[in-house]
Amino acid sequence: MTLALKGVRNPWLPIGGAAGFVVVTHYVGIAAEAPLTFLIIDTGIGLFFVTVGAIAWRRRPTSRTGPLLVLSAALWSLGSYGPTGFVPVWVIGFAFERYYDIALALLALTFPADRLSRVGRMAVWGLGGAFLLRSGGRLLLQDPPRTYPDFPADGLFNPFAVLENRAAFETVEALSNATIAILAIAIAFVAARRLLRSPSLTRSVIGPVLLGSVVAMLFASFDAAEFAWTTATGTPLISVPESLSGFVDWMILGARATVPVAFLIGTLRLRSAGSPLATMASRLEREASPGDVDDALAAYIENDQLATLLSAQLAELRASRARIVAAGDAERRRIERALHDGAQQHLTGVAIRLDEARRAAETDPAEVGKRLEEIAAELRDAMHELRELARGIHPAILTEAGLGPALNTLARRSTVSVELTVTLNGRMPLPTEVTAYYVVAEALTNVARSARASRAWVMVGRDQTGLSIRVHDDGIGGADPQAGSGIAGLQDRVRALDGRFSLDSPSGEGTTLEVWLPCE
Amino acid sequence: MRVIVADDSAVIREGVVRILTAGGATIAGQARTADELLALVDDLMPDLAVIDIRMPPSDTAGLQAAVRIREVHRGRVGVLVLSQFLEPEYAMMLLAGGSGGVGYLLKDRVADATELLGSAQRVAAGGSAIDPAVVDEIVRGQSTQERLSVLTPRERQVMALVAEGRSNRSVGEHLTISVKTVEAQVATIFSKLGLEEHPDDNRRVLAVIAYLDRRA
Repeated sequence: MTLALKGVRNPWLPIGGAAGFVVVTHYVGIAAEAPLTFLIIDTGIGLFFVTVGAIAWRRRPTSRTGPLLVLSAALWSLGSYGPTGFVPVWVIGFAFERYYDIALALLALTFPADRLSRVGRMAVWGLGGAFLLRSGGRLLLQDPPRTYPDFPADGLFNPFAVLENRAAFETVEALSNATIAILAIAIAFVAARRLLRSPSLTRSVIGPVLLGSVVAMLFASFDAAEFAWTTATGTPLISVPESLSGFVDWMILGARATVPVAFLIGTLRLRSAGSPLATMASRLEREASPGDVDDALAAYIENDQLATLLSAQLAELRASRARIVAAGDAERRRIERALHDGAQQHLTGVAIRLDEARRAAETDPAEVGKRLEEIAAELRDAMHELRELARGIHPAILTEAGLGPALNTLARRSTVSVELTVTLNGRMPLPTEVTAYYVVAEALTNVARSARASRAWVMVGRDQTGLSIRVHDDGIGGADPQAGSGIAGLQDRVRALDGRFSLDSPSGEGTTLEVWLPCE
Repeated sequence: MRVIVADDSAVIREGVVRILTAGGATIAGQARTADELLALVDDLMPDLAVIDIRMPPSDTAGLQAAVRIREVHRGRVGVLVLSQFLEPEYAMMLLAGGSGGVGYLLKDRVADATELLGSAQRVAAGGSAIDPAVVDEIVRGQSTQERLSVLTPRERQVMALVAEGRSNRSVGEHLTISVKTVEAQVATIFSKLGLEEHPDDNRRVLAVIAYLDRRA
């Protein structure tokens, strides 16, 4: 039933249809001189149902909530045929009254996006079956004016009655109504339990709707129970004094009207909280432990903060990725230039001098020795440059001997005097060592280049979970972490390893760089 | 002088073999990997092993083999490491167990037959040979420079040569000054730096290098 509705391409057709149906049925009621105010309110509630259904349908086209509400509206109006005075419409109204309770039962069990459990499906089918049974009895087994001598006939009769059997009718009526009463109260209980067991945030979102459906189910149950009781015993379940009966009627009508209101609030709230939230909440509620749900929801509540934080981090990540790529490119350009300007030039020089030496060997043998000297010198320079270039690309000593010896080399090569304190036991993962090496290298380069320092202190030590590095100098301070690309590059390297980075450089008090790198 | 030459590069190996043979050495064997080298050394007990610092199977195998030979055959087999790295750290690692019979030369020296041969002979004879560039690298350090400021330029020159592992005579020849002058200057240097002078050349190399490398 709901599947067929969900498959409707254009929801406006059924929505319009339902609205039209509501108006027409009630117009018929007015024409039949049913109590005017009653009919207006009844029409109002019907149209309200349609409207809420339309809103829900449009906003969440894949949910069954909207179609179910629209269907409820049409079924609601069907019941309103009851008070009309037309044959055979009044019989149909009487036979098919309150069918909307089935739709509401479905909502009570599934709102906002749950699947129906096996037991739930049985309950809904059972409810539908009981309604059908009741309709069958009311339609086929009796003609009230003839069955009940005191029925105010006013020319009414049931043209569908095929078997006028009061005993059979009352049996069916009592049985079907008792079933409806029991199933409806059971469903109300389940819906109430769903409501109470849901985490607070979910409850605030789905609460109104579930509360509305619980109320609707309680009414349905009471209504059916009263029918069953009256048919079985011949006395009303609850006798309302004559003076209060009008008031009670209004109260019941008003209470019924709260159902669509509740649905409207629930639908809007679902919207405002973002439907994925309620959907997720309800799924989690079904599939995960309450703790998980609370955690997930707590996290989701901070949605905005998280989103802001996340997008900031994402931007930073993009920027750092771009910087790393750019740094890699710049490094490759540097190597290319160094090879071209250095080793390649020297080798060209060697080739030229070799040619000169070859010609000298023919004309001036004394010159050969001199040329060869030059060639040897040229080659030594080429080797020196290649060695330095290779070290710049990656210090072999770092890989081969570890961080300690590599730091010794850095300290020794620094143009400011460096006091180095290294406490390490054994090797660490290469990425950690390489990053630590470059942190110290870059820091010492900065000290030498811009700190106007006379001394620097480098402390590198292992702790339980990582490696801490501290480089301090007695220079002028005031280093700007945003300034040199070197610092930004270092931060990128450190962050790539999930490390921590801090630069403290008050003017006139030297600069302190502290880095911590995790290593298990 | 019986020598084993170990290098995975045939060009370098051939070059070294040629220079040493021309200098009168006997090539007892050649090795291409650290394992081959260790087996050959155990087998042949040469006077000297010339070892490439970087050999298969791993990047550090050559250096490790050198250290191992130093431990196992100390005083019998000299170790001369040829390295493409201007890293005093490696030289320090080799010197860690004493400076006798150990050398650390840059591969560039292969192009200088006299220098290579001289170093090989020195190490084979139980002396030491540290590449001038390596010593220079140590001396150039800022902290070292500060500490060496008490020395005259000539004294610094002498000290660097001592650190290379040269004897007083060799220093004198290098600077074309008399051995006596060298002795006097060495004494001054040691006293200025507060080092205890030692008659054994090797011990004094270690003392000087350790002093130079003392960081801050």
